[in-house]
Amino acid sequence: MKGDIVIIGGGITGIALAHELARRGEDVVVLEKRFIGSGSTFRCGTGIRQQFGDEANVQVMKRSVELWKKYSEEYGFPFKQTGYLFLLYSEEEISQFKENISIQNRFGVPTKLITPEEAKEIVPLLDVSEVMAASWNPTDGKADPFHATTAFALHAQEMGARIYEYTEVKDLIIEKGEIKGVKTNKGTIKTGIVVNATNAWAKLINAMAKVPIRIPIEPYKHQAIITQPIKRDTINPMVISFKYEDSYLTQTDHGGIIGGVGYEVGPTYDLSPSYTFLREVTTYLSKIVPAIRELLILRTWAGFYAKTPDSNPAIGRINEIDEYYIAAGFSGHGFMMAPAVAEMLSDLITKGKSKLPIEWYDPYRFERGELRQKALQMG
Amino acid sequence: MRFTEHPILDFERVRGREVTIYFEGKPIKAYEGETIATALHAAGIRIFQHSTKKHRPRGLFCAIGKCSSCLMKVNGIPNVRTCITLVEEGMQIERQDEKPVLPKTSKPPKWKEPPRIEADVVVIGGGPAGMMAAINASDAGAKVVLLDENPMLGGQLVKQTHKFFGKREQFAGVRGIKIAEILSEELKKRDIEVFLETSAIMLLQDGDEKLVVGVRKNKELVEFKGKTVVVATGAMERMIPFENNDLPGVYGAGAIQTLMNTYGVKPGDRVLIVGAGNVGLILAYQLYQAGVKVEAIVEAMPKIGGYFVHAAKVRRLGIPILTRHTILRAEGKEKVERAVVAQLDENWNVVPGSEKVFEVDVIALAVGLRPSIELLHQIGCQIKYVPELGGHVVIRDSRMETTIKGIFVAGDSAEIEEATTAMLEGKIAGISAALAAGVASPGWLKEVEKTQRELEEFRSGPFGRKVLEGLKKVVVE
Amino acid sequence: MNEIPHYLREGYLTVEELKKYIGLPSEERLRQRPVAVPECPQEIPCTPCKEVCPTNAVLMEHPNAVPIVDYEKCIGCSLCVQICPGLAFFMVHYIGDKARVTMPHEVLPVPEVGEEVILLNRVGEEVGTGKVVTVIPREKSKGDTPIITVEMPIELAWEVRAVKVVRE
Ligand SMILES: Cc1cc2nc3c(=O)[nH]c(=O)nc-3n(C[C@H](O)[C@H](O)[C@H](O)COP(=O)(O)OP(=O)(O)OC[C@H]3O[C@@H](n4cnc5c(N)ncnc54)[C@H](O)[C@@H]3O)c2cc1C
Ligand SMILES: Cc1cc2nc3c(=O)[nH]c(=O)nc-3n(C[C@H](O)[C@H](O)[C@H](O)COP(=O)(O)OP(=O)(O)OC[C@H]3O[C@@H](n4cnc5c(N)ncnc54)[C@H](O)[C@@H]3O)c2cc1C
Ligand code: SF4
Ligand code: SF4
Ligand code: FES
Repeated sequence: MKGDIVIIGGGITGIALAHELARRGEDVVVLEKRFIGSGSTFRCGTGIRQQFGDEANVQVMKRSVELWKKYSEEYGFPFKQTGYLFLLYSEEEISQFKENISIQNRFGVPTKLITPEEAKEIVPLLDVSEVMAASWNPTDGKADPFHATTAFALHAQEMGARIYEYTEVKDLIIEKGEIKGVKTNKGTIKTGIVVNATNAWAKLINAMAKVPIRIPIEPYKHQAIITQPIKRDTINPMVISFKYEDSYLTQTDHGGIIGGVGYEVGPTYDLSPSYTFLREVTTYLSKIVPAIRELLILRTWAGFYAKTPDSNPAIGRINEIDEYYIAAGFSGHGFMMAPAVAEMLSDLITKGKSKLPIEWYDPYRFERGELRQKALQMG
Repeated sequence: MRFTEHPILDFERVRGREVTIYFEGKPIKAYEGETIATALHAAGIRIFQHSTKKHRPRGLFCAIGKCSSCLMKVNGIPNVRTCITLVEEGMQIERQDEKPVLPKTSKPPKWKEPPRIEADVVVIGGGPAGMMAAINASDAGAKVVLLDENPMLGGQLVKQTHKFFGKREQFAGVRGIKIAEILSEELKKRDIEVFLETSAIMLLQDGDEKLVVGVRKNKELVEFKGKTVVVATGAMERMIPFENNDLPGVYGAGAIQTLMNTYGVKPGDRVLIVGAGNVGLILAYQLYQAGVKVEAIVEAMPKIGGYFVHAAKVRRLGIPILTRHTILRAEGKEKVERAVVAQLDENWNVVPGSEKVFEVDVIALAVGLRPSIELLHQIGCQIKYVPELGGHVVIRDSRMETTIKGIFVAGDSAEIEEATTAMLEGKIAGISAALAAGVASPGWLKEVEKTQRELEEFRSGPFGRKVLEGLKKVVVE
Repeated sequence: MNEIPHYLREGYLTVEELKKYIGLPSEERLRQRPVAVPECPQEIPCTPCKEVCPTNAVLMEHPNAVPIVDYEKCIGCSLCVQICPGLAFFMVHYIGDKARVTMPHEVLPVPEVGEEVILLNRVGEEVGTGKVVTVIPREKSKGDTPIITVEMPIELAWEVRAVKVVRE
């Protein structure tokens, strides 16, 4: 078997990329060791925001939201622009967010600072007794990872992409710096172009490719909960509180409250649920919305934040291997970015450059000691 | 719908003080110590909520807090599981017909360090397996703590008014409810701390020891730390697909037993039972004893799966058993009014024209159990699917230790079998847990071996043979 | 696959099956004094009938064996009827043209001595009426199960295995 471009990893990144490349008429194959979304994608908190603190991420996310909108309408999966509401509890936080807002506004993202009372109008169950202000962008939102990933996968397949599940990449065949193929548990695929879209597992694939530069991406366990469903529109936006250990919560389409906190363990590939997390999440989420304490938690689960030192992903071409690309290390924001990442990387693969600021995510920056400003991150 | 007379049980003696609760504003008589669902049922109220999307009526189903079919609004709090919440004077109960709305005024909870109970052996589950584990671990010299999510000890035994099989020394000829009493007395004689209404929600490795996270009365966190843990959490009932299987009046067999034998409330007037295993057969007999008419027992297999003697007991009271029959659908507007059954041919297809209609208001599902292995699964014990043992079960050795050192399993949570084997396994697990905790003298190994021989003897018949086949696949040394 | 015996398909024993699997006492023995007959043809792990018998009349080679009564050894004490958790033991006694059948009775109401009751066969059909001659109430029964002895026409001795008490 052969494919012109082989994408390793069937998470939202790999699937959205396959979709975009197929749209452009490329011959693509996705190899996924389990089922699509089984890595971090189906375990994510569903949030999609443009509220970042640096120009590159704001621009990229602005484009991503446009694409989320476009494809959700075309393919009919739920993407709702219900906003992101950052609760701010100190002058210091407020001044930091004012700076962020001015960057966001500059690129046309309509974020503004609102009062606690206004925040309470948006989410009446908030406890705003300690809140001093909030940063509010109504055009941020959320999407259902199951529906979204599946929709991209189905349409990618319709356009000719091939997705192989339960196909684990075991090794890369590279001769004289040139990729010849990929070895899997089900056989070998001939190809000249490989994209490493395995996020938390990226270092393992990089090792198979003998990538000569240091790309530090490590897996950290992050957990989330979902509660019993309650009446729709109770908590529409994603509500964030850095004061309460980077916690976040929002309501899913089904009505359950999904949320998490900053508690992390790692680097590790262990995904067992932890008691400390449960104690923290129940405490902190009910500080934000006290009535949550009346709900039972239905499930808790863990996934990976694939973290780099500056919380920005590594996206780009590894020049020493012809042709090897990487798009991994998405920390807590890989789901939201995927449509834009797919576009940038497709540009790079098919045209050698992109209009989006892909250099910000340059995989060589670690080796060169050029870390970026830390990307705004929660959970 | 409450009965005052019963050939075996005496409810007047156990019923608590009379209280009044309000259903949609109307007063209802209830007794302290009974659940909201029981009191509603006794007052003839079957519909507890409507599903939010299709507005289908929902009522009781499992009666042990596991299925969410009974959620109602209680004193303004939504999603209360009325089957495990006890009545209190003046309680306001409302049907929940939409996705619930959270109360506007809630105070953020205060962070409190939970109490931490330390022991050599922590036993989860107070059924026959758990109680025997606790008693024997204690006798072997361990400090033991036991927790159970029910308000009373005994597990399945507290609903079983019939006499048990086995040997006399294993309580044969004694009623299940009596065995529960005897074992609770034995627990009391020993220095064993018991936490009731306390659910274990997590099982964790904590250094060399284990941590069991419990929630008491649905509110308070309690931590149990032990050198070893015995998991004896019993089993859960299975469900089968058929049209309208969500109508109020379609109940798990266990729920009916709880209503009838724990609280003295009739589940309805006319019942169809699905499944002729021991549970279905015993349920039919218990319903007859409670004065409820059983129209028939249907069984898809060509033969009766339970003990013949249980079948003979109900046949001679005029209850038909239709082997090679299945339920096609339940009918009724807001609750069960009829059940339609049909015959099956050799290939499990419905025989055309064989449909029969039974005018019943209750359909009881007695279609098998599966081990409750959630906690064992969560901590990472190795699991295997073994149909002979009831589904997914944990790998263990002949001393009931799982693939995680210091975690033991016993009873129905190890494999679906009987109270007698549950007790024997409980004994083995309890002693082994005490040994593994380093507190029992090696002499206790003899007792373990003796009990293993008793188990072997019990399982030597045709019913045990199936279990033995299954055990071959999961018992490793 | 082995043929499924009738009793496991239908849930009751016919008299022919009873003869085949268990064996009946002789007429002579039936007239001497009450004799216990176990209707328990399936191998199950259960032994109280054997354990309780004062004369070792209940034979079981191993705990899963089918109980067989040595009718000559049986003294008709009814302990097995009282204890049996399967409610599967009965006693039969022929007296003239009548038979007295002793059976467990765990449903309400418990009849009184002298009371007329409706006789039920092994599938619950009403086959006549009989008179209760003795009652061992629950408190006095070894196995917590009330035991009644009912007098009936002799030809019903191998049919009737339960009664219904009908009161105003
Ligand atoms: C609790 C939690 C909450 C989060 N909340 C959000 C949020 O609100 N918004 C947001 O944008 N992001 C969120 N994230 C982050 C987000 O989930 C990830 O960044 C995103 O899913 C990454 O997608 P991916 O496709 O790059 O990686 P993945 O979804 O992990 O996909 C990688 C795939 O590669 C496969 N793979 C690995 N090795 C091999 C191999 N050798 N051969 C073949 N296949 C292989 C894996 O099986 C996996 O399916 C959250 C993450 C967690 C854990
Ligand atoms: C209708 C019926 C008839 C039966 N007849 C017989 C018979 O004649 N002879 C015979 O030998 N056997 C019989 N059995 C089987 C017997 O009752 C069971 O095999 C036996 O009760 C199993 O014992 P156990 O201790 O393993 O589980 P259980 O009795 O089910 O006890 C489990 C206990 O664990 C508790 N628990 C579960 N999860 C948690 C948690 N997370 N935290 C805290 N507590 C928890 C439960 O509340 C429960 O009290 C019958 C069963 C049924 C249903
Ligand atoms: S009636 Fe008495 S003697 Fe006869 S078998 Fe039964 S227990 Fe033994
Ligand atoms: S006690 Fe009853 S059920 Fe048990 S073996 Fe004897 S006859 Fe059979
Ligand atoms: S949870 Fe209450 S009936 Fe099942």
